[in-house]
Amino acid sequence: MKYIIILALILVTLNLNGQNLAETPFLVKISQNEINRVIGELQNQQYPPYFISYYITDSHQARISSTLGVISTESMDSLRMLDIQVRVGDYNFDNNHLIRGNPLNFNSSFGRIELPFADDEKAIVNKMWFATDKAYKSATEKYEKAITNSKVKVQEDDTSADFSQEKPVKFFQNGKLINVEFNNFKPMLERLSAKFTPYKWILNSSVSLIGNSNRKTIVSSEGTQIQTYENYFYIYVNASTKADDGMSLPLYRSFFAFTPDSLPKEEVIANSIDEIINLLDRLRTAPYAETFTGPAMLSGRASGVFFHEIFGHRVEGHREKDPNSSQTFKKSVGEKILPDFMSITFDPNKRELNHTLLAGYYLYDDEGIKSKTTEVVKNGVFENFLMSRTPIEGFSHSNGHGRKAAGYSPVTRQSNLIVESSKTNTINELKDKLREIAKEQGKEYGLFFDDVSGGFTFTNRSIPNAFNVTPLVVYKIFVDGRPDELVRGVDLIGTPLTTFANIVATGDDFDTFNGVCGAESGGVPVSASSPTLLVSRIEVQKKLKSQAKPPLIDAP
Amino acid sequence: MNFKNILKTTYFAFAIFLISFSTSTANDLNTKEILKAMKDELQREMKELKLENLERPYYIEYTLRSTHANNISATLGNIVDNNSKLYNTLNVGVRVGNYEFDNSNFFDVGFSFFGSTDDEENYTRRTLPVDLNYDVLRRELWLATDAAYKQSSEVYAKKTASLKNIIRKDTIPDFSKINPTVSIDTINTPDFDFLKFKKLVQDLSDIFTSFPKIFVSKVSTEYIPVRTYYVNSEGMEYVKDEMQTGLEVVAYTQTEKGIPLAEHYSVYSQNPNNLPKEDSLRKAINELAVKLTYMTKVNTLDDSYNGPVLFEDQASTEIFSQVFAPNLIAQRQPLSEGFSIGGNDKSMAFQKKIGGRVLPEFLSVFDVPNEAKYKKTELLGYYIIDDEGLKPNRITLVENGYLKTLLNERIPVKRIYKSNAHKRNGAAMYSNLVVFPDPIKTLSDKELKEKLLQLVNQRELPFGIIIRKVMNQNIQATGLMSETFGQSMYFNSQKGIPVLEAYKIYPNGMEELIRSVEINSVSPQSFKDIIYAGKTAYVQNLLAPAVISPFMTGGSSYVGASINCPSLLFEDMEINAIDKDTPKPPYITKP
Repeated sequence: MKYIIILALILVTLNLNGQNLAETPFLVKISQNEINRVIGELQNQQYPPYFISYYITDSHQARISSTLGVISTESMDSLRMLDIQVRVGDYNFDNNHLIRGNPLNFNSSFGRIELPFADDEKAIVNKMWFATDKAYKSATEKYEKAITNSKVKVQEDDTSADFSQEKPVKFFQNGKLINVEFNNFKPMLERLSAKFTPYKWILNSSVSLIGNSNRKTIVSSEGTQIQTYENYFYIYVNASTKADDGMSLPLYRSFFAFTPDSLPKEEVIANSIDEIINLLDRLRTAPYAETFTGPAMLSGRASGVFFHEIFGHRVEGHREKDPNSSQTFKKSVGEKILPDFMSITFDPNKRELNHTLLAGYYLYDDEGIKSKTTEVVKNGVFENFLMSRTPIEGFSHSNGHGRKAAGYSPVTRQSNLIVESSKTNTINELKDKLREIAKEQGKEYGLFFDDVSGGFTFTNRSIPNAFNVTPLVVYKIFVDGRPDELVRGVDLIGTPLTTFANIVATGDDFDTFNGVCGAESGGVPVSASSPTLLVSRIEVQKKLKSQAKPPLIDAP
Repeated sequence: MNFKNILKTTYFAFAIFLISFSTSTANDLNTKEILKAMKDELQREMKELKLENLERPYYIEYTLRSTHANNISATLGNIVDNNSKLYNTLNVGVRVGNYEFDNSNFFDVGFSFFGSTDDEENYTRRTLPVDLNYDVLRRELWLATDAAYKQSSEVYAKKTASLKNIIRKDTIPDFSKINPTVSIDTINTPDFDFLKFKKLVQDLSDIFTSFPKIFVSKVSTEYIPVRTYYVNSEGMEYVKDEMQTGLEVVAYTQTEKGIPLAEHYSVYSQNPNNLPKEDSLRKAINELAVKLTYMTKVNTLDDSYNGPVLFEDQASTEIFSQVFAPNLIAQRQPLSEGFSIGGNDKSMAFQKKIGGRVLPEFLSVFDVPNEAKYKKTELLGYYIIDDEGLKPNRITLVENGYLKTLLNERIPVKRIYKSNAHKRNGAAMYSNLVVFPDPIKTLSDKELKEKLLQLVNQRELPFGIIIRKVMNQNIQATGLMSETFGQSMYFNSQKGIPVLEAYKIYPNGMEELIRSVEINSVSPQSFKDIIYAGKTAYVQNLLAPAVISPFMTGGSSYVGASINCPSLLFEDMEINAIDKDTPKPPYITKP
């Protein structure tokens, strides 16, 4: 039976990817041997490990930036890093059991362990051994602490196991690490960054290419053996100026691709630079927006980020286990939390959507679990949490969302967030609705958040559960039909449930924000896609403003 | 090495080669163009920069450093890290007020610890593009100078205000005057032969493969050529090339009972081609590995030892550099809002001691920044001009036991008003220190041992102690710490200096190697208890930790220096076994 499932999985991935290596890769082989040896040797200890995994990241990281027509930074790093997980106890209760009430309760991980580049067994295994011994010692220490902690504290609300039992997987992707040919990109970056040169009032500007090519090798004592390739390439355009009142005005554009060749053409980036210059020029003389509460429209990118912050981080399963976490949706399974016409899916299997590539695409998560398309909200009803191998009440298996950056321990993280709507309006209809609502509320205008740089949220009980989305481009849409007015200086804030209750309608468009999400398991690539959203009431607060004067004398 | 292995190795080498090749053009920045941009912008800023109702700057300086850092490290015959990075950094200094009284020598708590909250432009260690041209550089200088002037004006006002309420004891001028000169001192810094050094490091690290008792080991090398461009508003102008090469080895193991043992070996030179030959490096590393393996079987001290101690070889240079040398730097205590901060309290012993006796009368100390070599050894502290463009000379710091002066920069301190040209990497620092004994008081190695045993006899001690190697703090904090995931923290102690190689010497002259001891209660004053010095001079190049914190100066945390010191016999010193909890030995057998 087990065989059939494994085979089925491979078939599926073959379909997806069409490539699977027959031969066991070197790193997999030596990792498995060492894990087996270690497990064997530690059987006589008081707490023998029941699970060990090695996670090796081979990474090529390239970065070239250009400013005002010259190359400003240029670096290429190659790394091979090892992360080790050692679990003692059993699946139900182990050293990763949450220790309650301790202020210094960090996820155990002792930084990245650098391995030699070359496939030399003796040197690699020596490093593995020294680090595993240390990891094992800290695992037993934590296990004993956890046992005592669970005895001195009250009964836990969530009595689910500490680690889910999953079927081991074997999958070796055929691929290679990609190097960025710097010389192919330099002239283009120089030409693009030189476009800012004539505009002396733009204080800082750059055009950068960042490339990350990773090969992930995961081997565990359960028999999982995986090797996959994940590549991310970005072009970032940054520019900033200062208004006369000191306010810094940054704008960004980013372009994402899975290979350097599929990055956008120079003209596309050049056009977007022209737009940035134009927008910055208008922004520095744009009026200062006041604090406001009232209706607002969020563009696809803005509402993508908005959902990522206010919703996505609250459906990351492992947070429901932590009694300090706000557990906003813990009891919401089967309940209606959004309008009927809305659904939210996390889909790590989707590589692109409406011709836009999605950065949160992967074959297997960082715990070696096949990525699964997960419908979290269906027709307004909450159905599912995102799950890693940390079970929670009612959800005992992973859906392939255990993710991490090298040097961290995996926790549940988002992938490709996709907001879908069955009831759509044209943008003009949405605008009219916005004006109507504003009028009802006695407001002179509503706001339109056209672009955002990102956001953040708090999910802990000790701090109010607010979110902040940082807009870059905001317009006032007037009730009396005057032309829209560009404004600056506000952040979009709120609390999740109230804001959810105020969602009124969605647009017939669709846009994607690709980015890197940072949390306790490091930075992971994610995306958020959504139609334009109309919310009947939002709140904006004044943005933190620099008090520094613009430069005293003119640019040379 | 299998076929796949070879492919992989050459592949990486190729990648690196490409980078260093493509960046070497950037390294040849057009000197004239760069200096012209710096001078043109400086002139314009001096003329035009002014805030309403506030004073103009009276002094501006620009320091642009173009650094090319190359690193390679390996373990058990395999490369773990190799990097080649090129970067340009800019430091802008703006002074408001006048030479007597300006914004400097004042510690602003908020700015110093947290920086401005107003996302202002950066003006210390500002990163500049690697490919610079005239226009881009002028823009960068413009933005940085603007920020520097604004903050200097603010600090100047704060300093003036805080002096309205206190009577200031320190009436020394804030900045000394100099005669400006122009020096263009460029040399052709050699290219780094990446392939050659990769092979060297790989081969050297492979030596440890034959020593299974050693848990972890690492061999690393770095080569860092730096070109500095400097102009100031007084007309001082220079371009200089400097370089630094190092090869460091660390190794770590535990005894059967878990007691941690570590060893290191390091050599430095300016020119990468002047490191010792591979044969002698091999020999040294092999000896290190043999000794560390042997060390797992030896004993430590049972009781505290109080008695005469002989320092030989690396140990005498290391103890001198750690305990005595940092006190030879002049430190101006900055004025501060509220509480006193700044300066390195640990190294303040001699600030008021000029004229007093700090060593026995048979010892003198010189600093010789202008000497490139001692016999055949290249000296790491050698330089032609300091950070402020001044030419250094030989300085007599201690003459026949009496302190004559301290090393400083253009910040005057009591009794030292003029710079003696020792500003390097951000602050005043020693360069090549020579501890010179009066030949009448020197003894041969054999005689020193005899003297030691005489003292042992007089004090009715069962044995004396000879120390030949002391832990270098810098190598411990960098190489050892990361390689052992912090297990080498065992060697950290507030009170003691860990020793790597110590011997009991018995009245019959027999020596016995002991492990895990530290030197306790040693202070700069302890050096007055030196009763004899050896005839042989030991020369040690080292990366000396900056005395004045780089946090205050924007400089670097270590500076290349050398210590030339004979064996030293201390009449009395306290040596103890390191008495700390130790990690358990590994549960898993070493593969």
